[in-house]
Amino acid sequence: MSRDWQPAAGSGDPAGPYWAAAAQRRLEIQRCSGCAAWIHFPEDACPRCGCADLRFEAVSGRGVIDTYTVIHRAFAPEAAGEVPYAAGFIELEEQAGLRVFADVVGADPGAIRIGMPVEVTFTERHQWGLVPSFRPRTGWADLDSKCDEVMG
Amino acid sequence: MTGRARPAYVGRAAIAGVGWTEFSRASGRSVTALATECARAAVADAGLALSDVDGMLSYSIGDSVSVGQVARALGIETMRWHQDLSGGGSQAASILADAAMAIAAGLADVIVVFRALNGRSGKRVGRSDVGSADFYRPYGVLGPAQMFAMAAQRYLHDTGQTAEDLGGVAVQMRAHAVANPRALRRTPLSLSGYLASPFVAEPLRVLDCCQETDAGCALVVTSASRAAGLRHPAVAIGAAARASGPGASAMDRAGCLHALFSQYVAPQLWQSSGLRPRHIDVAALYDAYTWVVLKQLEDFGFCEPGAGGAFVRGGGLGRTGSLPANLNGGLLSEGYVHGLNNVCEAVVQLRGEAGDRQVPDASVAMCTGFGGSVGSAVILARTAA
Repeated sequence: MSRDWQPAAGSGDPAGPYWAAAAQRRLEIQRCSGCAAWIHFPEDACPRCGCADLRFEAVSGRGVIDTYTVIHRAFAPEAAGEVPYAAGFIELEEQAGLRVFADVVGADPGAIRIGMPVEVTFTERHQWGLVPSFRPRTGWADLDSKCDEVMG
Repeated sequence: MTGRARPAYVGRAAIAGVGWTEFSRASGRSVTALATECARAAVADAGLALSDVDGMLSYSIGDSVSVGQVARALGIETMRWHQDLSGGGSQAASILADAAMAIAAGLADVIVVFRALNGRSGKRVGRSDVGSADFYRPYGVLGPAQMFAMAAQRYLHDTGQTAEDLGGVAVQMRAHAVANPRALRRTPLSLSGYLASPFVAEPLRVLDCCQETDAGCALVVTSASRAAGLRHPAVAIGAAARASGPGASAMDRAGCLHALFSQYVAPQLWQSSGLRPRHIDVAALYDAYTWVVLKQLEDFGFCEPGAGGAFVRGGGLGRTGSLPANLNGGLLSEGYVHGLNNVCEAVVQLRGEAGDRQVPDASVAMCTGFGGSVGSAVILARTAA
Protein backbone atom coordinates (compact mmCIF):
# COMPACT_ATOMS: atom_id res chain seq x y z
CA MET A 1 0.00 0.00 0.00
CA SER A 2 2.98 2.29 0.47
CA ARG A 3 4.10 1.43 -3.01
CA ASP A 4 4.34 4.14 -5.64
CA TRP A 5 1.86 3.25 -8.32
CA GLN A 6 2.34 3.88 -12.00
CA PRO A 7 6.10 4.34 -11.64
CA ALA A 8 7.93 6.06 -14.42
CA ALA A 9 9.51 3.91 -17.10
CA GLY A 10 13.03 3.05 -16.04
CA SER A 11 12.16 2.78 -12.34
CA GLY A 12 13.03 -0.90 -12.45
CA ASP A 13 9.48 -2.25 -12.09
CA PRO A 14 8.76 -4.14 -15.31
CA ALA A 15 5.05 -3.45 -14.80
CA GLY A 16 5.52 0.33 -14.75
CA PRO A 17 4.63 0.91 -18.41
CA TYR A 18 1.50 -1.28 -18.06
CA TRP A 19 0.04 0.98 -15.37
CA ALA A 20 1.29 4.14 -17.04
CA ALA A 21 -0.52 3.20 -20.27
CA ALA A 22 -3.70 2.39 -18.34
CA ALA A 23 -3.60 5.86 -16.81
CA GLN A 24 -3.85 7.10 -20.43
CA ARG A 25 -6.75 4.71 -21.15
CA ARG A 26 -4.61 2.38 -23.23
CA LEU A 27 -4.14 -1.35 -22.71
CA GLU A 28 -0.53 -2.13 -23.55
CA ILE A 29 1.08 -5.50 -23.00
CA GLN A 30 4.75 -6.37 -22.82
CA ARG A 31 6.11 -8.10 -25.91
CA CYS A 32 9.41 -9.80 -26.66
CA SER A 33 11.46 -8.29 -29.47
CA GLY A 34 13.22 -11.60 -29.96
CA CYS A 35 10.40 -14.13 -30.33
CA ALA A 36 7.35 -11.81 -30.49
CA ALA A 37 5.69 -13.53 -27.52
CA TRP A 38 3.27 -11.44 -25.47
CA ILE A 39 4.19 -11.49 -21.77
CA HIS A 40 1.95 -10.77 -18.78
CA PHE A 41 2.49 -10.23 -15.88
CA PRO A 42 5.47 -8.21 -17.08
CA GLU A 43 8.95 -9.64 -16.59
CA ASP A 44 12.56 -8.52 -16.80
CA ALA A 45 13.28 -11.11 -19.48
CA CYS A 46 11.15 -13.18 -21.86
CA PRO A 47 10.16 -16.45 -20.14
CA ARG A 48 10.03 -18.13 -23.54
CA CYS A 49 13.38 -17.17 -25.11
CA GLY A 50 15.26 -15.24 -22.42
CA CYS A 51 15.52 -12.08 -24.50
CA ALA A 52 15.68 -8.93 -22.35
CA ASP A 53 14.62 -6.54 -25.11
CA LEU A 54 10.97 -6.16 -24.19
CA ARG A 55 8.59 -3.44 -25.42
CA PHE A 56 5.02 -2.51 -24.65
CA GLU A 57 2.51 -2.65 -27.50
CA ALA A 58 -1.17 -1.85 -27.70
CA VAL A 59 -3.55 -4.82 -27.83
CA SER A 60 -7.16 -5.16 -28.93
CA GLY A 61 -8.56 -5.24 -25.41
CA ARG A 62 -10.83 -8.12 -26.39
CA GLY A 63 -10.84 -11.44 -24.60
CA VAL A 64 -12.83 -14.01 -22.69
CA ILE A 65 -13.14 -14.72 -18.98
CA ASP A 66 -10.88 -17.66 -18.10
CA THR A 67 -11.91 -17.68 -14.46
CA TYR A 68 -13.32 -15.24 -11.93
CA THR A 69 -14.66 -14.90 -8.44
CA VAL A 70 -17.40 -12.77 -6.96
CA ILE A 71 -16.16 -11.40 -3.68
CA HIS A 72 -18.69 -11.09 -0.89
CA ARG A 73 -16.31 -10.50 1.98
CA ALA A 74 -13.63 -7.92 1.23
CA PHE A 75 -10.37 -8.33 3.11
CA ALA A 76 -8.99 -5.18 1.50
CA PRO A 77 -10.54 -2.48 3.70
CA GLU A 78 -10.80 0.08 0.91
CA ALA A 79 -13.09 -2.31 -1.02
CA ALA A 80 -15.36 -3.18 1.89
CA GLY A 81 -18.19 -0.93 0.73
CA GLU A 82 -18.28 -2.42 -2.76
CA VAL A 83 -19.30 -6.03 -2.21
CA PRO A 84 -20.30 -8.00 -4.12
CA TYR A 85 -17.78 -7.38 -6.88
CA ALA A 86 -16.21 -9.59 -9.53
CA ALA A 87 -12.62 -9.99 -10.66
CA GLY A 88 -10.79 -12.56 -12.66
CA PHE A 89 -8.36 -13.54 -15.37
CA ILE A 90 -9.17 -12.46 -18.91
CA GLU A 91 -7.53 -14.34 -21.76
CA LEU A 92 -6.72 -11.83 -24.48
CA GLU A 93 -7.32 -12.75 -28.10
CA GLU A 94 -3.72 -11.92 -29.11
CA GLN A 95 -2.25 -15.16 -27.79
CA ALA A 96 -3.47 -18.39 -26.18
CA GLY A 97 -2.92 -18.26 -22.43
CA LEU A 98 -2.16 -14.51 -22.38
CA ARG A 99 -4.08 -13.42 -19.27
CA VAL A 100 -4.75 -10.04 -17.73
CA PHE A 101 -6.11 -9.71 -14.21
CA ALA A 102 -8.86 -7.15 -13.69
CA ASP A 103 -12.31 -6.57 -12.31
CA VAL A 104 -15.41 -7.31 -14.36
CA VAL A 105 -17.76 -4.34 -14.48
CA GLY A 106 -21.01 -3.50 -16.21
CA ALA A 107 -22.52 -6.90 -15.52
CA ASP A 108 -24.65 -8.40 -12.78
CA PRO A 109 -22.08 -10.50 -10.84
CA GLY A 110 -24.53 -13.39 -10.95
CA ALA A 111 -24.55 -13.33 -14.77
CA ILE A 112 -20.79 -13.63 -15.20
CA ARG A 113 -19.60 -16.90 -16.71
CA ILE A 114 -16.35 -18.54 -17.68
CA GLY A 115 -15.98 -18.07 -21.44
CA MET A 116 -17.92 -14.79 -21.49
CA PRO A 117 -16.57 -12.38 -24.17
CA VAL A 118 -15.35 -9.13 -22.63
CA GLU A 119 -13.56 -5.96 -23.67
CA VAL A 120 -11.37 -3.50 -21.84
CA THR A 121 -12.60 -0.30 -20.28
CA PHE A 122 -10.92 1.86 -17.67
CA THR A 123 -12.15 2.62 -14.20
CA GLU A 124 -10.96 4.78 -11.33
CA ARG A 125 -9.85 2.64 -8.38
CA HIS A 126 -9.10 4.32 -5.05
CA GLN A 127 -5.52 5.52 -4.82
CA TRP A 128 -4.55 3.60 -7.94
CA GLY A 129 -6.21 5.95 -10.40
CA LEU A 130 -7.29 4.61 -13.79
CA VAL A 131 -6.79 0.87 -14.17
CA PRO A 132 -7.91 -1.63 -16.80
CA SER A 133 -11.31 -3.24 -16.21
CA PHE A 134 -13.36 -5.52 -18.43
CA ARG A 135 -17.04 -5.42 -19.37
CA PRO A 136 -19.21 -7.80 -21.35
CA ARG A 137 -18.67 -7.39 -25.07
CA THR A 138 -21.62 -6.51 -27.21
CA GLY A 139 -22.11 -9.18 -29.83
CA TRP A 140 -22.84 -8.49 -33.51
CA ALA A 141 -26.46 -9.49 -33.03
CA ASP A 142 -26.87 -6.89 -30.31
CA LEU A 143 -25.15 -4.27 -32.44
CA ASP A 144 -27.53 -5.04 -35.29
CA SER A 145 -30.56 -4.61 -33.08
CA LYS A 146 -29.17 -1.35 -31.73
CA CYS A 147 -28.61 -0.13 -35.28
CA ASP A 148 -32.21 -1.00 -36.05
CA GLU A 149 -33.36 1.05 -33.10
CA VAL A 150 -31.27 4.03 -34.15
CA MET A 151 -32.32 3.74 -37.78
CA GLY A 152 -35.96 3.37 -36.78
CA MET B 1 9.04 -51.33 -9.45
CA THR B 2 11.44 -49.82 -11.85
CA GLY B 3 13.10 -46.51 -11.25
CA ARG B 4 15.13 -45.00 -8.50
CA ALA B 5 16.60 -46.71 -5.51
CA ARG B 6 14.98 -46.15 -2.17
CA PRO B 7 16.09 -42.74 -0.81
CA ALA B 8 18.82 -43.03 1.81
CA TYR B 9 16.84 -41.34 4.61
CA VAL B 10 13.83 -43.64 4.34
CA GLY B 11 13.22 -45.65 7.49
CA ARG B 12 16.23 -44.20 9.29
CA ALA B 13 14.26 -41.71 11.40
CA ALA B 14 11.01 -41.90 13.33
CA ILE B 15 8.56 -39.70 15.16
CA ALA B 16 8.78 -40.38 18.88
CA GLY B 17 6.59 -37.65 20.32
CA VAL B 18 3.80 -35.22 19.50
CA GLY B 19 2.51 -32.23 21.41
CA TRP B 20 -0.14 -29.55 21.15
CA THR B 21 -1.23 -26.42 22.90
CA GLU B 22 -4.88 -25.64 23.37
CA PHE B 23 -6.53 -24.50 20.12
CA SER B 24 -8.29 -21.15 20.41
CA ARG B 25 -9.32 -18.03 18.56
CA ALA B 26 -7.62 -15.75 21.07
CA SER B 27 -4.80 -17.37 22.99
CA GLY B 28 -3.85 -14.22 24.91
CA ARG B 29 -0.28 -15.55 24.83
CA SER B 30 2.83 -14.90 22.80
CA VAL B 31 3.76 -17.14 19.90
CA THR B 32 6.94 -18.01 21.80
CA ALA B 33 4.83 -19.23 24.70
CA LEU B 34 2.75 -21.40 22.35
CA ALA B 35 5.88 -22.78 20.66
CA THR B 36 7.62 -23.67 23.91
CA GLU B 37 4.50 -25.30 25.31
CA CYS B 38 3.96 -27.61 22.36
CA ALA B 39 7.69 -28.41 22.16
CA ARG B 40 7.81 -29.31 25.86
CA ALA B 41 4.70 -31.45 25.44
CA ALA B 42 6.16 -33.34 22.47
CA VAL B 43 9.49 -33.98 24.21
CA ALA B 44 7.70 -35.20 27.34
CA ASP B 45 5.44 -37.37 25.20
CA ALA B 46 8.54 -39.00 23.73
CA GLY B 47 9.90 -39.65 27.21
CA LEU B 48 12.92 -37.50 26.49
CA ALA B 49 14.37 -34.45 28.23
CA LEU B 50 14.88 -31.00 26.74
CA SER B 51 18.60 -31.62 27.23
CA ASP B 52 18.33 -34.40 24.64
CA VAL B 53 17.17 -31.95 21.97
CA ASP B 54 19.95 -30.84 19.65
CA GLY B 55 18.00 -29.80 16.57
CA MET B 56 14.96 -27.75 15.71
CA LEU B 57 13.01 -27.01 12.52
CA SER B 58 10.04 -24.76 11.91
CA TYR B 59 8.30 -23.01 9.02
CA SER B 60 6.43 -19.77 8.88
CA ILE B 61 5.42 -16.86 6.68
CA GLY B 62 6.42 -13.94 8.85
CA ASP B 63 3.94 -14.89 11.55
CA SER B 64 5.99 -16.88 14.04
CA VAL B 65 9.20 -16.88 16.05
CA SER B 66 12.58 -18.28 15.08
CA VAL B 67 13.84 -21.64 16.27
CA GLY B 68 16.65 -19.76 17.99
CA GLN B 69 14.18 -17.79 20.10
CA VAL B 70 12.28 -20.93 21.00
CA ALA B 71 15.44 -22.84 21.90
CA ARG B 72 16.54 -19.97 24.11
CA ALA B 73 13.15 -19.84 25.82
CA LEU B 74 13.42 -23.59 26.46
CA GLY B 75 16.89 -23.20 27.95
CA ILE B 76 18.54 -25.14 25.12
CA GLU B 77 21.79 -23.24 24.78
CA THR B 78 23.64 -25.25 22.19
CA MET B 79 22.09 -26.80 19.14
CA ARG B 80 23.31 -28.66 16.13
CA TRP B 81 21.03 -28.74 13.09
CA HIS B 82 18.41 -26.00 13.23
CA GLN B 83 16.63 -24.14 10.49
CA ASP B 84 13.79 -21.70 9.91
CA LEU B 85 12.05 -22.63 6.67
CA SER B 86 10.21 -19.95 4.76
CA GLY B 87 6.85 -21.14 3.59
CA GLY B 88 3.39 -22.17 4.52
CA GLY B 89 1.40 -25.31 3.94
CA SER B 90 3.78 -26.67 1.34
CA GLN B 91 6.20 -27.43 4.19
CA ALA B 92 3.77 -29.36 6.38
CA ALA B 93 4.79 -32.77 5.02
CA SER B 94 8.29 -32.27 3.66
CA ILE B 95 9.60 -30.78 6.90
CA LEU B 96 9.52 -34.32 8.32
CA ALA B 97 11.76 -35.46 5.48
CA ASP B 98 14.07 -32.53 6.21
CA ALA B 99 14.29 -33.76 9.79
CA ALA B 100 14.77 -37.36 8.70
CA MET B 101 17.58 -36.39 6.33
CA ALA B 102 19.37 -34.52 9.12
CA ILE B 103 18.99 -37.50 11.45
CA ALA B 104 20.11 -39.98 8.79
CA ALA B 105 23.13 -37.84 8.02
CA GLY B 106 24.12 -37.68 11.67
CA LEU B 107 23.67 -33.92 11.84
CA ALA B 108 21.48 -34.11 14.93
CA ASP B 109 20.08 -36.78 17.26
CA VAL B 110 16.78 -35.34 18.47
CA ILE B 111 14.98 -32.72 16.39
CA VAL B 112 11.87 -30.81 17.44
CA VAL B 113 9.68 -29.84 14.48
CA PHE B 114 7.06 -27.24 15.32
CA ARG B 115 4.62 -24.69 13.92
CA ALA B 116 3.16 -22.07 16.23
CA LEU B 117 1.12 -18.99 15.45
CA ASN B 118 -1.59 -16.67 16.69
CA GLY B 119 -3.28 -17.24 13.37
CA ARG B 120 -6.65 -15.85 14.45
CA SER B 121 -5.90 -13.15 17.00
CA GLY B 122 -2.56 -12.10 15.54
CA LYS B 123 -1.36 -12.04 11.96
CA ARG B 124 -3.99 -13.83 9.89
CA VAL B 125 -2.86 -15.94 6.96
CA GLY B 126 -6.22 -15.34 5.29
CA ARG B 127 -5.50 -11.64 4.89
CA SER B 128 -1.87 -11.85 3.89
CA ASP B 129 -0.48 -10.85 0.53
CA VAL B 130 -0.03 -13.54 -2.05
CA GLY B 131 2.33 -13.43 -5.02
CA SER B 132 1.87 -10.63 -7.57
CA ALA B 133 -0.27 -8.69 -5.08
CA ASP B 134 0.44 -5.49 -7.00
CA PHE B 135 -1.88 -6.76 -9.72
CA TYR B 136 -4.67 -7.92 -7.43
CA ARG B 137 -4.97 -5.27 -4.75
CA PRO B 138 -6.21 -2.44 -6.99
CA TYR B 139 -9.25 -4.63 -7.65
CA GLY B 140 -9.95 -5.37 -4.00
CA VAL B 141 -8.53 -8.88 -4.19
CA LEU B 142 -6.41 -9.85 -1.19
CA GLY B 143 -5.41 -13.09 0.48
CA PRO B 144 -5.28 -16.74 -0.45
CA ALA B 145 -9.01 -17.50 -0.15
CA GLN B 146 -9.90 -15.02 -2.88
CA MET B 147 -7.10 -16.22 -5.13
CA PHE B 148 -7.82 -19.91 -4.66
CA ALA B 149 -11.52 -19.20 -5.18
CA MET B 150 -10.69 -18.39 -8.80
CA ALA B 151 -8.88 -21.69 -9.21
CA ALA B 152 -11.83 -23.43 -7.55
CA GLN B 153 -14.29 -21.78 -9.94
CA ARG B 154 -12.38 -23.13 -12.91
CA TYR B 155 -12.03 -26.54 -11.26
CA LEU B 156 -15.79 -26.85 -10.82
CA HIS B 157 -16.35 -25.60 -14.38
CA ASP B 158 -13.92 -28.09 -15.91
CA THR B 159 -14.97 -31.13 -13.88
CA GLY B 160 -18.70 -30.47 -13.69
CA GLN B 161 -18.67 -30.72 -9.91
CA THR B 162 -20.92 -28.57 -7.76
CA ALA B 163 -21.38 -26.81 -4.44
CA GLU B 164 -22.72 -30.09 -3.07
CA ASP B 165 -19.39 -31.73 -3.88
CA LEU B 166 -17.51 -29.03 -1.98
CA GLY B 167 -20.01 -29.30 0.85
CA GLY B 168 -19.37 -32.99 1.22
CA VAL B 169 -15.83 -32.24 2.39
CA ALA B 170 -16.97 -29.63 4.91
CA VAL B 171 -19.63 -31.98 6.27
CA GLN B 172 -17.20 -34.92 6.57
CA MET B 173 -14.52 -32.89 8.33
CA ARG B 174 -17.10 -31.55 10.76
CA ALA B 175 -18.38 -35.03 11.47
CA HIS B 176 -14.83 -36.02 12.40
CA ALA B 177 -14.37 -32.93 14.58
CA VAL B 178 -17.43 -33.71 16.66
CA ALA B 179 -15.42 -36.57 18.20
CA ASN B 180 -12.36 -34.39 18.87
CA PRO B 181 -12.40 -32.25 22.03
CA ARG B 182 -9.53 -30.12 20.69
CA ALA B 183 -11.44 -29.03 17.57
CA LEU B 184 -12.71 -25.45 17.30
CA ARG B 185 -15.71 -26.17 15.05
CA ARG B 186 -17.69 -29.01 16.64
CA THR B 187 -21.31 -28.13 15.95
CA PRO B 188 -22.74 -30.87 13.73
CA LEU B 189 -23.09 -29.72 10.13
CA SER B 190 -25.50 -30.89 7.43
CA LEU B 191 -25.24 -30.26 3.70
CA SER B 192 -28.09 -27.74 3.93
CA GLY B 193 -26.24 -26.03 6.77
CA TYR B 194 -23.20 -25.83 4.55
CA LEU B 195 -25.22 -24.39 1.67
CA ALA B 196 -26.58 -21.71 4.00
CA SER B 197 -23.05 -20.58 4.85
CA PRO B 198 -22.31 -17.15 3.33
CA PHE B 199 -19.88 -16.75 0.46
CA VAL B 200 -16.42 -15.35 1.03
CA ALA B 201 -15.45 -15.41 -2.63
CA GLU B 202 -17.52 -17.56 -4.99
CA PRO B 203 -17.58 -20.51 -5.14
CA LEU B 204 -16.01 -20.62 -1.65
CA ARG B 205 -18.21 -20.14 1.37
CA VAL B 206 -17.03 -19.50 4.91
CA LEU B 207 -17.27 -23.24 5.53
CA ASP B 208 -15.09 -24.02 2.51
CA CYS B 209 -12.23 -22.23 4.24
CA CYS B 210 -10.16 -23.47 7.14
CA GLN B 211 -10.57 -22.20 10.68
CA GLU B 212 -7.81 -19.72 11.49
CA THR B 213 -6.41 -20.66 14.88
CA ASP B 214 -4.08 -19.66 17.70
CA ALA B 215 -2.08 -22.77 18.59
CA GLY B 216 1.16 -24.67 18.36
CA CYS B 217 1.94 -28.27 17.35
CA ALA B 218 5.25 -30.11 17.64
CA LEU B 219 6.77 -33.47 16.77
CA VAL B 220 9.97 -35.07 18.02
CA VAL B 221 12.07 -36.84 15.39
CA THR B 222 14.96 -39.10 16.28
CA SER B 223 16.70 -42.14 14.85
CA ALA B 224 14.53 -45.17 14.24
CA SER B 225 16.64 -47.22 16.65
CA ARG B 226 16.37 -44.67 19.45
CA ALA B 227 12.65 -44.18 18.87
CA ALA B 228 12.09 -47.92 19.15
CA GLY B 229 13.10 -47.83 22.80
CA LEU B 230 10.87 -44.93 23.84
CA ARG B 231 7.40 -44.65 25.32
CA HIS B 232 5.17 -44.92 22.28
CA PRO B 233 5.20 -47.07 19.16
CA ALA B 234 7.70 -45.44 16.80
CA VAL B 235 6.28 -43.91 13.61
CA ALA B 236 8.85 -44.23 10.85
CA ILE B 237 9.33 -41.45 8.31
CA GLY B 238 9.17 -42.96 4.86
CA ALA B 239 9.57 -41.58 1.37
CA ALA B 240 8.71 -37.96 0.73
CA ALA B 241 8.25 -35.78 -2.30
CA ARG B 242 8.34 -32.05 -2.68
CA ALA B 243 7.52 -30.58 -6.07
CA SER B 244 5.99 -27.70 -7.94
CA GLY B 245 4.82 -26.73 -11.39
CA PRO B 246 2.52 -24.40 -13.28
CA GLY B 247 -0.90 -24.02 -11.72
CA ALA B 248 -2.94 -22.26 -9.10
CA SER B 249 0.05 -20.51 -7.55
CA ALA B 250 0.67 -18.46 -10.69
CA MET B 251 -2.56 -18.24 -12.66
CA ASP B 252 -1.19 -15.52 -14.94
CA ARG B 253 0.85 -18.15 -16.74
CA ALA B 254 -0.54 -21.59 -15.94
CA GLY B 255 -1.83 -23.83 -18.68
CA CYS B 256 -4.34 -25.29 -16.23
CA LEU B 257 -5.59 -22.72 -13.72
CA HIS B 258 -6.48 -25.28 -11.08
CA ALA B 259 -3.40 -27.49 -11.23
CA LEU B 260 -2.15 -28.15 -7.69
CA PHE B 261 1.00 -29.54 -6.11
CA SER B 262 -0.55 -32.99 -5.95
CA GLN B 263 -0.31 -33.35 -9.73
CA TYR B 264 3.47 -32.98 -9.46
CA VAL B 265 4.04 -34.68 -6.10
CA ALA B 266 1.95 -37.82 -6.62
CA PRO B 267 4.06 -39.58 -9.29
CA GLN B 268 7.23 -38.87 -7.34
CA LEU B 269 5.76 -40.12 -4.08
CA TRP B 270 4.43 -43.35 -5.56
CA GLN B 271 7.68 -44.00 -7.36
CA SER B 272 10.02 -43.31 -4.44
CA SER B 273 7.88 -45.12 -1.88
CA GLY B 274 6.98 -48.08 -4.06
CA LEU B 275 3.47 -47.74 -2.65
CA ARG B 276 0.12 -47.30 -4.36
CA PRO B 277 -3.11 -45.65 -3.16
CA ARG B 278 -4.46 -49.02 -1.97
CA HIS B 279 -1.63 -49.25 0.58
CA ILE B 280 -2.65 -46.09 2.45
CA ASP B 281 -4.64 -46.80 5.62
CA VAL B 282 -5.14 -43.24 6.81
CA ALA B 283 -4.39 -39.83 5.33
CA ALA B 284 -3.64 -36.32 6.46
CA LEU B 285 -4.91 -34.33 3.49
CA TYR B 286 -4.16 -30.64 3.60
CA ASP B 287 -7.61 -29.04 3.67
CA ALA B 288 -7.15 -25.30 3.69
CA TYR B 289 -10.13 -25.29 1.30
CA THR B 290 -12.66 -28.00 0.54
CA TRP B 291 -11.90 -28.20 -3.17
CA VAL B 292 -8.21 -28.91 -2.70
CA VAL B 293 -9.16 -32.16 -0.94
CA LEU B 294 -11.13 -33.27 -4.01
CA LYS B 295 -8.27 -32.37 -6.30
CA GLN B 296 -5.74 -34.27 -4.18
CA LEU B 297 -7.90 -37.38 -4.15
CA GLU B 298 -8.01 -37.27 -7.94
CA ASP B 299 -4.31 -36.47 -8.42
CA PHE B 300 -3.06 -39.12 -6.00
CA GLY B 301 -5.27 -41.68 -7.70
CA PHE B 302 -7.72 -42.44 -4.91
CA CYS B 303 -10.51 -41.81 -7.44
CA GLU B 304 -10.94 -40.89 -11.07
CA PRO B 305 -10.42 -37.29 -12.23
CA GLY B 306 -13.54 -35.26 -11.49
CA ALA B 307 -14.88 -37.90 -9.10
CA GLY B 308 -13.54 -36.44 -5.85
CA GLY B 309 -16.91 -35.10 -4.78
CA ALA B 310 -18.66 -38.42 -5.31
CA PHE B 311 -15.88 -40.20 -3.43
CA VAL B 312 -16.24 -37.95 -0.40
CA ARG B 313 -20.05 -37.87 -0.43
CA GLY B 314 -19.99 -41.65 -0.59
CA GLY B 315 -18.14 -41.74 2.73
CA GLY B 316 -14.68 -42.39 1.32
CA LEU B 317 -12.97 -40.18 3.92
CA GLY B 318 -14.97 -41.58 6.84
CA ARG B 319 -13.42 -43.53 9.69
CA THR B 320 -14.37 -46.79 8.01
CA GLY B 321 -14.19 -45.48 4.44
CA SER B 322 -11.64 -46.51 1.84
CA LEU B 323 -9.36 -43.58 2.74
CA PRO B 324 -10.03 -42.36 6.28
CA ALA B 325 -8.65 -38.83 6.42
CA ASN B 326 -8.21 -36.01 8.91
CA LEU B 327 -9.91 -37.77 11.78
CA ASN B 328 -9.15 -34.68 13.87
CA GLY B 329 -11.58 -32.68 11.74
CA GLY B 330 -8.85 -31.26 9.57
CA LEU B 331 -7.88 -27.66 9.08
CA LEU B 332 -11.51 -26.96 8.24
CA SER B 333 -12.86 -27.95 11.65
CA GLU B 334 -10.11 -28.81 14.14
CA GLY B 335 -8.14 -25.71 13.30
CA TYR B 336 -5.43 -24.34 11.11
CA VAL B 337 -1.94 -24.90 12.46
CA HIS B 338 -0.69 -24.68 8.92
CA GLY B 339 -1.16 -28.38 8.32
CA LEU B 340 1.02 -29.73 11.10
CA ASN B 341 -2.00 -30.60 13.27
CA ASN B 342 -3.22 -32.99 10.55
CA VAL B 343 0.21 -34.66 10.61
CA CYS B 344 0.06 -34.98 14.41
CA GLU B 345 -3.32 -36.72 14.09
CA ALA B 346 -1.86 -39.18 11.58
CA VAL B 347 0.86 -40.03 14.11
CA VAL B 348 -1.70 -40.65 16.84
CA GLN B 349 -3.67 -42.85 14.45
CA LEU B 350 -0.61 -44.90 13.54
CA ARG B 351 0.16 -45.40 17.23
CA GLY B 352 -3.37 -46.69 17.72
CA GLU B 353 -4.03 -44.08 20.40
CA ALA B 354 -6.89 -42.13 18.84
CA GLY B 355 -9.65 -43.51 21.02
CA ASP B 356 -13.11 -42.88 19.57
CA ARG B 357 -11.50 -41.55 16.40
CA GLN B 358 -9.25 -44.55 15.84
CA VAL B 359 -9.10 -46.01 12.34
CA PRO B 360 -8.90 -49.80 12.66
CA ASP B 361 -5.51 -51.30 11.78
CA ALA B 362 -3.91 -48.06 10.63
CA SER B 363 -0.30 -48.81 9.82
CA VAL B 364 0.57 -46.64 6.79
CA ALA B 365 -0.28 -42.95 6.42
CA MET B 366 0.13 -40.37 3.69
CA CYS B 367 0.43 -36.73 4.75
CA THR B 368 0.26 -33.82 2.34
CA GLY B 369 1.26 -30.17 2.38
CA PHE B 370 -0.51 -27.73 0.03
CA GLY B 371 0.86 -24.41 -1.12
CA GLY B 372 -1.05 -24.02 -4.36
CA SER B 373 0.88 -25.68 -7.14
CA VAL B 374 3.87 -26.18 -4.84
CA GLY B 375 3.68 -28.71 -2.06
CA SER B 376 4.80 -31.95 -0.54
CA ALA B 377 3.81 -35.35 0.76
CA VAL B 378 5.35 -37.90 3.09
CA ILE B 379 4.66 -41.50 4.01
CA LEU B 380 4.57 -42.44 7.71
CA ALA B 381 4.41 -46.00 8.96
CA ARG B 382 3.92 -47.69 12.31
CA THR B 383 6.91 -49.86 13.05
CA ALA B 384 6.59 -53.34 14.46
CA ALA B 385 6.64 -53.32 18.25
